[in-house]
Amino acid sequence: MNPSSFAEMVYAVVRDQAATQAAIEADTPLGADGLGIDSVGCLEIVLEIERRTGMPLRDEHLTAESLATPGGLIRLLEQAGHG
Amino acid sequence: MAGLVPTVADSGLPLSWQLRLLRATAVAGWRQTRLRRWAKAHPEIARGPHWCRRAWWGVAAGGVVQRHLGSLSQRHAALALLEPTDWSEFDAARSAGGVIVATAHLGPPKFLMHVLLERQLPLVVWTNAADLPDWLPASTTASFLDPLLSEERAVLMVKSALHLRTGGILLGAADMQTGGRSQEFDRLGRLWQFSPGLPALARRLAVPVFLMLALWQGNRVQISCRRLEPPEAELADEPWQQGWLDRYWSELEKIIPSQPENLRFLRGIDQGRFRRELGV
Repeated sequence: MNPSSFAEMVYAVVRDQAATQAAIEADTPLGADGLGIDSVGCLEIVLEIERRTGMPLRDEHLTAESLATPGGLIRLLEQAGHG
Repeated sequence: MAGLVPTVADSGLPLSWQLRLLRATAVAGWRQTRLRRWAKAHPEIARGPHWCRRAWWGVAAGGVVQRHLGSLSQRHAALALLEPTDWSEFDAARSAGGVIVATAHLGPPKFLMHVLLERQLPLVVWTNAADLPDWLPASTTASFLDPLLSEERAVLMVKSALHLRTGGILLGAADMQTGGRSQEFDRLGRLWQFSPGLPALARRLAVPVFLMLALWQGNRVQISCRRLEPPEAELADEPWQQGWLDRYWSELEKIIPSQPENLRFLRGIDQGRFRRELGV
């Protein structure tokens, strides 16, 4: 998966979880101040991204920032060597 | 009555004497506290003066034990209250992979966590970080994640999932709403709020769940450990989580009216006000 289709996949997963067709930017907050996705929803996003990439995420790069926005998720996956 | 628990805990008496002293104090002590008003407002739960004496003792004794557990030099005295535990079913499950230990805010605070830490298990613990003694994180390989930190809650869920997937053990409670979604039960004359985080992990990771509680039995502590069977797999996510919480709650519902010494009167029940009167 190349980096741009990879990013598109992340946006699609986030959009599905938020149940919205609205435009989502890299810095759109996933949480209560943005898309309203809670911690269970964030878990669903991560597991779905893993399922689509076939690559398990690792704990060492995981921070609040990496799960706060689509851009954070993309950076997390790049750090994990997926991007 | 303010400060009773610190006074007793720091008295220098052996812990077993402290617990007996609190039994004697409980006979009249509960009447001077907020518990009296609370009991009048909750007749479905609080069943007379004897119930209140036991509830009062449980909060005071729990506070004393928690202070012992928080002290490196006194912790062993608290852990010595533990009755022998049959770990066989739990140990068999954890030897096969990740396991969720679903506990609840019942019984002496932090007791179960310390027992599991003593067993040197690969633990991730959901706990209020403000309650942890300074020496604890550095003295164990366990990780502590705080569900009360809203900005960290997504990380807590994902880290817990990754830990379970690598065969680790997650210790957490579902009987307190920490923000975000919650499930409510209208029972025993009041609303009880539950967090869906643990059932969501149980569903997604398909790991076994053990309901584990450290409960007062007289002046000793007994660990109750039983497998919590999952709801039917074909259910959609929300009814599955509801079914999981139903099973979890039905176990707690048996304890709350019948074993008042195991209630903690935390913010879900009394905003912690009665506890504060005792210096807990």
